Amino acid sequence: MRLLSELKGKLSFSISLLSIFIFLSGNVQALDGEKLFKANCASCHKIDKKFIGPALAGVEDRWESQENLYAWIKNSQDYLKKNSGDGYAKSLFEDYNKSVMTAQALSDEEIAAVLDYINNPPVKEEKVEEVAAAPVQAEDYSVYWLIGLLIVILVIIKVLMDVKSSLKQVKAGVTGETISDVGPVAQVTTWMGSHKRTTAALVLLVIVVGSVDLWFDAKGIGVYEGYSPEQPIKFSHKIHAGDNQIDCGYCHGSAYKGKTAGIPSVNVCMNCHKGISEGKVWGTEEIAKIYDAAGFDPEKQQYTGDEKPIEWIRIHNLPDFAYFNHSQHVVVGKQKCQTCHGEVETFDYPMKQHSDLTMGWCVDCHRETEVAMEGNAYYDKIHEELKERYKDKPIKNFTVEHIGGLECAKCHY
Amino acid sequence: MKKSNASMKSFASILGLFVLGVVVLQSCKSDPNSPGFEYMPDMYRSPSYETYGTGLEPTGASARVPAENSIAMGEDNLPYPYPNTFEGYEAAGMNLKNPLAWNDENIAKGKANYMRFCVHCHGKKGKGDGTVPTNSEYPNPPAYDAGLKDLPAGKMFHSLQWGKNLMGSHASQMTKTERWEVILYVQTLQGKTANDLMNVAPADSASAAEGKEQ
Repeated sequence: MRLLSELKGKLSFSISLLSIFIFLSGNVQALDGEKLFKANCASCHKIDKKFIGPALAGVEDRWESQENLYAWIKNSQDYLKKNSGDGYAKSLFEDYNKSVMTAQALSDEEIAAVLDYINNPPVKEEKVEEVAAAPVQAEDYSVYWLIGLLIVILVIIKVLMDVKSSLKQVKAGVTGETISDVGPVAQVTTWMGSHKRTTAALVLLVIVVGSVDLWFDAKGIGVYEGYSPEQPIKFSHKIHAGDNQIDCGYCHGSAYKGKTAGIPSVNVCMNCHKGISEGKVWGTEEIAKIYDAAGFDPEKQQYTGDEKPIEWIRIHNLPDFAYFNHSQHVVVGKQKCQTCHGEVETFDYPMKQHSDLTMGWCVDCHRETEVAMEGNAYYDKIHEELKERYKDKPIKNFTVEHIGGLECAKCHY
Repeated sequence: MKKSNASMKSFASILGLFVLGVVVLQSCKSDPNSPGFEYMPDMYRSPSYETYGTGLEPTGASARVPAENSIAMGEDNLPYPYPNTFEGYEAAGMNLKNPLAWNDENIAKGKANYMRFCVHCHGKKGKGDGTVPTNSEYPNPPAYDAGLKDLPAGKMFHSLQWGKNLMGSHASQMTKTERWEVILYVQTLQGKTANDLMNVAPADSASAAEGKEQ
């Protein structure tokens, strides 16, 4: 009896061990499949969605035989040549723009592992809907507060005056005096008449504070520093240039070649967004606007040709009488974009103007910035001439000012 | 008394206007959608069409697509002869040769543009581990020293011209010369040296690449 139970125990132990092994080996295979899928297939295929190639879910059911499918995966062009009668394979090639599926150097076991992975895709964890607390643009409410406060104070004054006058009337009723009912304006003027010094001080205070404020406000006329309008697409420089470290020049490449920094055409957006349809902050909403502009159907993964321009709101704007050239500053002067535009890679939506872009600001920088002449082919000739000219009176800090950076006609002509 | 009262009143009204002006100027600053006051339309807005302006049919944008078959001025901008097909890709791999010399200067220029136009997907060492595929659903591109080890220069150029699989065309962002410079740098990431490029006939490399490239 004891022997039997011992045997039973051993048996159950070994069975459980065996099942663990089976479980583990199954797991290993699934892992392999995932790895192989990601390395070889994922550039063009998704499991549940059409991508460059068809969705792979149920791929085995769509092919007549396993043998054919494997042959196709290993070399689709070769398969087409040998099996010209296979209508499905032919239609696949035609339907997907005649783009050739690259021959895969995979063994039968590896293909089986991939197919196993496709049939048992990882269960997607339910994404906890992050309450996308839309970064509400913090509006400056201080003015409304000020106006509100003013109204409250006026109401209080009115109430107090009413109380005062009714008290006076009561007093008059008691004593039998007759008082003329004076209006509040007259009361204020009589009070001002009897408190001349205080009145003068108050008026002076209002004038001084107001003038200072007016002066700084007036200086801000025509200066668009901090201008951050809403844009048609909630584009975040922080996500693109910060988190994903995409170089400024990827989208604004013409800054290195010409006068303007350029707004990227939508085909540049599509270079990445063909493969990224969902963002982390706004979901698919904002990226769908790119698809709309580019005339791209994300379901069919095809361009429809129905294109629409994106009407970005221009932020940085110089008047026409001021000439500014990006490439002169970025390529020749070796300035970083951030010198004028600020740490744009940290700016979330909406983009804002960092510097005031006034003439004083330009001139200040030209006075302070030393010219990067060393090893700069642009300055080779100028450098020789300048060496000659300043032979007797060398300049310690050779700034842009010394090569004519303050001359009117450099920018205004 | 009466006269001083009147002057007092006009003074008070001037003061009131002054305060109103201050408040009005204040209020304009608080709207981020408005750039603020300007003295006059001081040549900020041109009556002519601006680069990214509006008002031209048919799309409403002033930026237009160049007329068909127009050729850009400057370097060799003759039309690219290989069509965006499988055959064109193969033919480019066989026949297209890099017009630039294999030297440090060209490779350095190529590296600078690789770091601008390629690195965020292909990664610093070309292993397909750039920041974009790492941070998003975007799949990792194959590595230059593995899956794309034997990809010939002509096929690289073809892919830059037309795009390949998920990668879009980069012809609008880089000139032909810049693309060939980048290709030189990518070949260093493939582990190639000047010697390899001399000895390997393009036809051989094309057929060798077939098996491995993705």
